[in-house]
Amino acid sequence: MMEILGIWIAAFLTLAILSFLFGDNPVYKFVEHIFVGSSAAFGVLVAFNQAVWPFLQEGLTTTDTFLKVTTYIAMFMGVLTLFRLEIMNFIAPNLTWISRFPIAFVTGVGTGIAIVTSIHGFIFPQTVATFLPLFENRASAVEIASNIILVIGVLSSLYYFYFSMEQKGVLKGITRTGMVIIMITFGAAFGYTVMARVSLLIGRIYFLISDWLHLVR
Amino acid sequence: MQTTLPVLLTFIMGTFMILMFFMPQFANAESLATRWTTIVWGFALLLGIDSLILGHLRKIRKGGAQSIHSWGLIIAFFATLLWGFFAWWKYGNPFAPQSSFLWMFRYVYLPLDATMFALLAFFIASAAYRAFRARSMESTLLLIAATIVMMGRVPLGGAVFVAFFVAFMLMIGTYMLYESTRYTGFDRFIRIIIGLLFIGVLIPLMNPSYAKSFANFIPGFADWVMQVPNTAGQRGIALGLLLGGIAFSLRVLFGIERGYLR
Amino acid sequence: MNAAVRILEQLGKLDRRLIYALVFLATAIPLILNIKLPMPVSPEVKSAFEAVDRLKPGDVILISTDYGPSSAPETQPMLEAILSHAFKKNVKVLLMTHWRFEGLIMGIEGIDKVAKKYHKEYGKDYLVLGYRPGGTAVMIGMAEDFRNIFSTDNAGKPLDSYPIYKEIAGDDGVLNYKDIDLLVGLEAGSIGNFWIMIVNARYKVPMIMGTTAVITPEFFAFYQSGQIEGLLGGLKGAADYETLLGVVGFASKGMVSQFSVHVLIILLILLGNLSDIARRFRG
Repeated sequence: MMEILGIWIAAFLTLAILSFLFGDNPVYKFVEHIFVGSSAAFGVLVAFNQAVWPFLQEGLTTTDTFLKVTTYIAMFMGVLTLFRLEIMNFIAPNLTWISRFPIAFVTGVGTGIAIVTSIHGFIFPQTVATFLPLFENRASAVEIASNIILVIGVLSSLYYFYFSMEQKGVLKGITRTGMVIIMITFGAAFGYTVMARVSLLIGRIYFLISDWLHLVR
Repeated sequence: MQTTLPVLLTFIMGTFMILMFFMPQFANAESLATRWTTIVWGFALLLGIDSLILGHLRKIRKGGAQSIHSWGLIIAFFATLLWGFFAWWKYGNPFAPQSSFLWMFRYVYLPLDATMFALLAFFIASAAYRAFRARSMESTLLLIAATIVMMGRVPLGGAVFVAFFVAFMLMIGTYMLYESTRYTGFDRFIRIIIGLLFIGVLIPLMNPSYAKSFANFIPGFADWVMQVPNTAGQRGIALGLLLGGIAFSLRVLFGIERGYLR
Repeated sequence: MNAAVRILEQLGKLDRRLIYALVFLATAIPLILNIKLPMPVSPEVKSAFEAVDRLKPGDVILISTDYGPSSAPETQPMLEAILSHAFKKNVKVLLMTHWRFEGLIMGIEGIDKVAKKYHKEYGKDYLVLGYRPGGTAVMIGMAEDFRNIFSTDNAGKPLDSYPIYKEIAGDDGVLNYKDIDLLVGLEAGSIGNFWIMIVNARYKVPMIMGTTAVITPEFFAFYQSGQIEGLLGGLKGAADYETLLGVVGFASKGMVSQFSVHVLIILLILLGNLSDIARRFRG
């Protein structure tokens, strides 16, 4: 019974959102606001239920003193983050700068990870993977051509974004090659983006015609 | 001090994380830093939500016809929050299988989120129809690549691509032959040749087995496009982006960029 | 010729609501008619399938469901197909999320549904670690010991209280990346890149990616470099995996709608361009 009610509510909400196709209307706007409101509430719940509470529980129940102390320090830093809430501008406007410390901590950790990760996890392996054999005895013509295109493609598309030097003569030719590769890349990306958006629509329409209208088994 | 100390903290933590990469014997210290980050991040999820609520409360106070939507948002927010906390108290987890809150999540929140994005399919079709114009070599190349990928990644796509190909070549060929009537001499001759070439390319496709081979070739060609030129372009773009990202991260680390503190 | 030019010009001025209606019908009709058409399997999906197929009973898969409801039509069939494959091979499964919380709910729905079909038991054959925010911090935090980040499972019980933990944790009783035989990232955002750049690059965990079609083109670079062993891209990737598995799921059914809408969009683009040419021809 609850499932049938739920399906009807979901179908109504789906159609309300789809009504936007005929133009902005009060039903769509109201349902959109409900979505934003419930989305924000889920964010709060998830923050407490999945992040704050498990660690707080761990800090309270553990017998390991070091783990207890460090968890409490981290929780304290987390609370300091809340000084960035807009409501603090009314309650204690002189203290909002305190939130900079946990933000700085998280930014520092994230930045440090990002630097080494980018170099070790992407730049090195991707550069190595670009060192492909351009002529090989046992490779087919397609493989050789593909390797050549890949190497030239990577170098020329990387060079396309180099603006520190005027691109003329031979360099302009490299830029043009890079542009061709990038256009093919964007074309492929467009094709896949269309595929993604259509897939989402397929999901919703399948729900309407299968779960709601039972037109499909 | 209000800015200097946080900037110094960013530098210390950033440098620490970089050093920890080279010192795996201190994995404990690295784990501790990442665990703290996870905890702080949990609290940071709450940021922004209060601005949203306060903004809509201001709209309600101002009144007007549109304030009803703000009422909807506020009521939905508090109703969801209270319902969730009640389910948490009753079942130990708001998302417990037997909880009514999970029912609401499944039949209200998930359909709304999914449908918002499903609208994009309609808009992408309309936008492509209105704005996607092959007016230059670059945009034509983009269109051809998109067509090959879109047709190569669906069943029967190869067959339809052949149909499009035949229609396109016939159209261009016929147009060139018609255009040639408006010229004389060499200009007319070259247009006739181009027109005949475009139509002539279709002659082998009159043989069904060649047409079928061409249709079967398209999915494999789409695979090749994704694995070779697309990979090359994506790698070049990503390398450029990441090199820029590293430069930006170093600026943040050394306190040159301080936007994150605002 | 003038009549043809005028018709083409008019065809460039179709009402947008007609286009929306055509898109809706092109999507709905194939689904109602329940048509299924064969299509060739992409090589990167075949590689992903083989990566799972190479696993032996008792091996461990860690699946990260980093997607939301907006990507679920593409990634949820991937999840169910990979889980079916894994459970058929009696592989142990761990499930987690660290991007969007909704991914955990959908992941739990998927794993419970497939586990029931293969008579798999929670805590013995599979475990749901839960959701933790933090992105890269979570990935690095798990490297030493999963319990640094997930001290309890999603139900709130200590991780090491489950039989599956005792079975799959190393000799030192610590569960970390060394005990994971394959990591499956089902991704809708940039966090997938970090799984590869951190967990594969630093800790050498073999991985396959299942991505929403929007971000799939980026991941071909990782596939070509060998950083991932396979890639499932969008609904096509899910449908290919189902084909290799020998099942007809949502993805396989949806591909015919995909075909009809793709044809419609290309026709519309061609119409728009022809109308533009006709307008310039008359002008």
